[in-house]
Parts: sequence; C-alpha cells; structure tokens
Amino acid sequence: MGTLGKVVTGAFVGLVALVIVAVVSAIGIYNTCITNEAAIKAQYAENQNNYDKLFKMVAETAQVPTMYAKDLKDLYVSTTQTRYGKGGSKAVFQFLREHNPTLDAGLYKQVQQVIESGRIDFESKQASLIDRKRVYESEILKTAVTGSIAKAMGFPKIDLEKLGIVTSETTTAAFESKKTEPFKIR
Amino acid sequence: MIFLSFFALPLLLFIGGYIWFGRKISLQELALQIVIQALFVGTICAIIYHKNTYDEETWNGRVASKSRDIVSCSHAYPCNCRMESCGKDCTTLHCDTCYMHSYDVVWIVRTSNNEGVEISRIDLQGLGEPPRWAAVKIGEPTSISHSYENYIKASPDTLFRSQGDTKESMPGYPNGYYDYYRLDHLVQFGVSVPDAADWNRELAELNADLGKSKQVNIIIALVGGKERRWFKTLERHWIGGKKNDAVLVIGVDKDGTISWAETMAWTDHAYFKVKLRDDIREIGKLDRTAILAAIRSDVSGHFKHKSMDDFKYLMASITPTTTEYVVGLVLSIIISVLLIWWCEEKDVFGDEDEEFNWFQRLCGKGKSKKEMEDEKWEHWGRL
Repeated sequence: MGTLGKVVTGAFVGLVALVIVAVVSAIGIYNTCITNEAAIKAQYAENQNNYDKLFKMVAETAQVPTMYAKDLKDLYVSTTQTRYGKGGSKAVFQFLREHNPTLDAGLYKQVQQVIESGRIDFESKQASLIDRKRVYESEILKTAVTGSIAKAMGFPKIDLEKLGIVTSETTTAAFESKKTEPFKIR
Repeated sequence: MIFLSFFALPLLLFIGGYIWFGRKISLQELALQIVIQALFVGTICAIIYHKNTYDEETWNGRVASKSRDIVSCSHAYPCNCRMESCGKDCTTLHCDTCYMHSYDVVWIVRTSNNEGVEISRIDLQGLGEPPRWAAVKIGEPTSISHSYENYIKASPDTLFRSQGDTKESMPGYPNGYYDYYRLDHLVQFGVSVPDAADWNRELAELNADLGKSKQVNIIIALVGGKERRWFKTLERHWIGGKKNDAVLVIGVDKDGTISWAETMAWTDHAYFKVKLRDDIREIGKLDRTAILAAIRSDVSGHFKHKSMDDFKYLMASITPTTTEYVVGLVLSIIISVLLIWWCEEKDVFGDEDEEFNWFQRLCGKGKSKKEMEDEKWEHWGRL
C-alpha cells in the first residue's frame, strides 16, 4: 500500500470510528433526554395528585360529610396559597368545626398531623421535581458536549419553566420585592 | 462526562505519540492503545461509581433453621508434580490438584430473610460441632448487613442531602455487627442509660418482629445536652440514614424527661414521622416499654420506606471527589504513557517496517525504512 493509501485508510478508519462514537452517543443522549423529560412530567403529575390527595385526607380524617368536601378543597387550596398569610390554616380548622361539631381533641390532633405530614410529603414531592429538573438542566442540557448534542436534537422538548412548583403569593411577592416582614406570633 | 474527562488527555497523547514517533507506532498500535485505554478508563469509572454509591443497610429477622451441611473440600494442594517437556530444551513443572479431605462440613445458620451465616469451624474439616452453632436458638433475632446502591450518598448536590459540614463531634452510625448476626440498635450520645442492654435486647426483638414484614431497621438515638435543631446536623451527618431505616432521635434531659423527639426515614408517608414524633413527645418520660410500644404501633401501621429507584435520576450527577478525580487522571496518564512507550519499543503487529508517518513526511522530517536504506546505498555509491 502506498503512502497516500495509508493516510486515506487511516483517515477513513478514524472517520468511521468517529461516526460510530457519535451515533452511539447521540442515541444515548436522546434516550437520556426522553427519559428525563418523561420523569419530570410524571413527577409534575404526581405532585398534582399528591396535592389533591391532601385535602381529601383532611376531609376524611375530620369526618367532614362528602357534600362539603369540595368546599374544603377550595378553602384548603386558598389557605395553602396564603400559607403564612392572613388566617393561614386556622380557616381550615374553623371550617372543620363548623361541619363537624363533634370534632374532639383527639380528632383535632389527628387532623393537624395529617395536614403537617401532607405538607411535608408535598414539600418532598416539590423537591423531587426541582431536583429532577436540576439534574436534567445542569448535568445534561448545560454540559459542553452532551448539552450541544441534545440541543441539536431539539431538547428540551418540554417547557421546563411551565412544570414548576406550587408556591404562595406571599413567597412570590417576597422574592420579587426582596423584602419580608417578621413573622407575627399573635 | 467522567469517562470523557479521564479519556480526553490520553487520547491527545496517543495521537501526539503516533505523530512524533513516526514508524515506531503503527496505526494498528494506535487503535490498540485507544482500546486498552478505554477499557482502563471504563474500569476506573466503574470503581469510582461503585465506591461512591456503595452503602449497606441492615436486614432484621430471626433464626429460621440451622444445619450441618456436607460440601466439597476447600483445602486444595499441589500433588503428583513432574517435569514435562514443552519443546526443545524446555521443561516445565506440572502438578495435579489434590484435596485434603473427601468432603468438608459447614455449620450454617439460616434466617427468615433467607440469609445464610457460616459459623467458624473448630477443626480444619469441620467435623467437630462448634459450641457457637450449638448455642444458636431458633427464633432469636438476627441483623445482617446487605449492600445497595445509594444514589443520594454519591450526589453531593442533590436537594435531598443537606449541605454543609459540622466540626462538632457526632455519634457514629450504628453498624458495629458482632457475634455473626447481632447489632446494637441503640445510640447514646451525651447521655447514658443504665438499662442500655435491655433497650438493645428489646429493640432487637422489635426489629426481628417487624424487620421482614415492614422491611425496616429501627434505631433509637438518645441524645443529651442538645437542642432540637441539632437533629438536622445528625441527619446531614448520617446522610438521612440508610434506605430502610426508621431512626427515632430523642432529646433527653438530665431527669429523664423527653425534651424533643424527631424521626429520620426515607419515606413518602410523612404521617409516620409526624405521628411517631408526637406519640413520643406525649409519653414525656424515658419510659422504655411505652416508647417501644409506640414505635411498634406506628411502624406497623404507617411505615413504608421509599425505593432507591426513585433517586435513580441522580446517576447523571454522580461526582467523583477531588482525590478520586486527581488519582484517576494521574493513573490514566501513567497508563497512556506506558502504552506509548510499549508500542514505541515493541513491534506489536510486526508491521512497523511498512509504517509511514505522514505528518513527519509532510514536514520533511521523517523517512521510511526503505527510503533510509536507499539513501544509505546512494551514499556508499557516491563514495
């Protein structure tokens, strides 16, 4: 084989190797992106499901009649949105007392536990969503090589901003104004 | 990413070596270097991945059975050795493998979790009954370590892992297994209870009862002289506990009053944590029987541990430590240099006479062996 032939062969072998590596990498990156996006969407749906479960558990624990359960959900959603705002979760307990006058101390405590644990669970689910998005963005989309290949293939294909967490108006306002009032105990 | 960061520099070195050493490194040798280096870097990555994700959890159960089993002998020795010819002027020593016994005896204890524990023999073949095996009682509690992949441990940036470090002294995680299958599940820190042995015995029974059905490892940490917020430091130090742990941390005053209680567990059912915390607070005093009863009731009724698969997405963010990164990179470079040296010294594929370095040729620096030979004859011809 002549000199030129060797150079051409070498270049061809290199090119073939490069193409193989590129194709295998692209397939891997495509699959990783698809899996991550599906998991983020699933986590978002799971958060909604968990949020819905929360008020149902409160209603069930407090033995609130089914006909009032919808009202409780609206109230629960509004008090959660203003979690540390006016009224807070006091309104929930007022509602429960109105619709279950026999709400004794034991049941009252159980409802408190359900609300607290429900919020911890929901907080954990929200953290999962943030963490999944963090890994997808920082470890895949924003890395030099993988990120460029992923972007070339059109990722992200979902609106990551849209699949965000639930927060309260108070929190949003505090982060926008960079100001917050001290908590008032009374 | 880890693979690429360990592989990029050696790859450049190989290409540099291929160009620099001209005929001495052929294209096939370059390919061989790349393949060997890729395997080596792959192995380094696998070791780092395994080391960082490796963790152990405790499975609790009871002794289900014990047996005396006959197995093949494990005491091999070389025998019937003789010199055998391996060609002209070549002989090698060949030996057969013989065994000291026709069989061995192993003394096994099996648990309700299908684990097998071998009790040490008192003689080489195992014919004598070990007193420890004779003392094993069917139904006694067992605690045995099992490995699993802990993605949280390997991902320092995850939101599920509290950030920061503490300089204060912290209690060690209880994993001091002893006497084959025993483990103390009580941790005392800044406080000492006189009935610690009873706590451990009853905790072992509790874990044995619930260990298999609830897949749980119950730990109690009694803490003195610490405020409630210290719990977060412990949680950070123990990285949230192992995946099947239900850790109850109780702040105890000098008079035995419970000042605070918190629970640590990987679960999607926080109700368990809240209820157990409240139940323990309600007990008020360090009443062992009442506390263990509350744990039994709450674990039975509400505990369900979270699967590690829920954290599998963290695999993409597994990060080597600085030491691992430096050691991995240095090893990778050393191997690549050794490979270049090896290929430069040896004609691995027997094709270097035909090899031609196009780069040196283009630069006018290198010549093929044939060209050098021609030049030599030309030179002698002129003379």
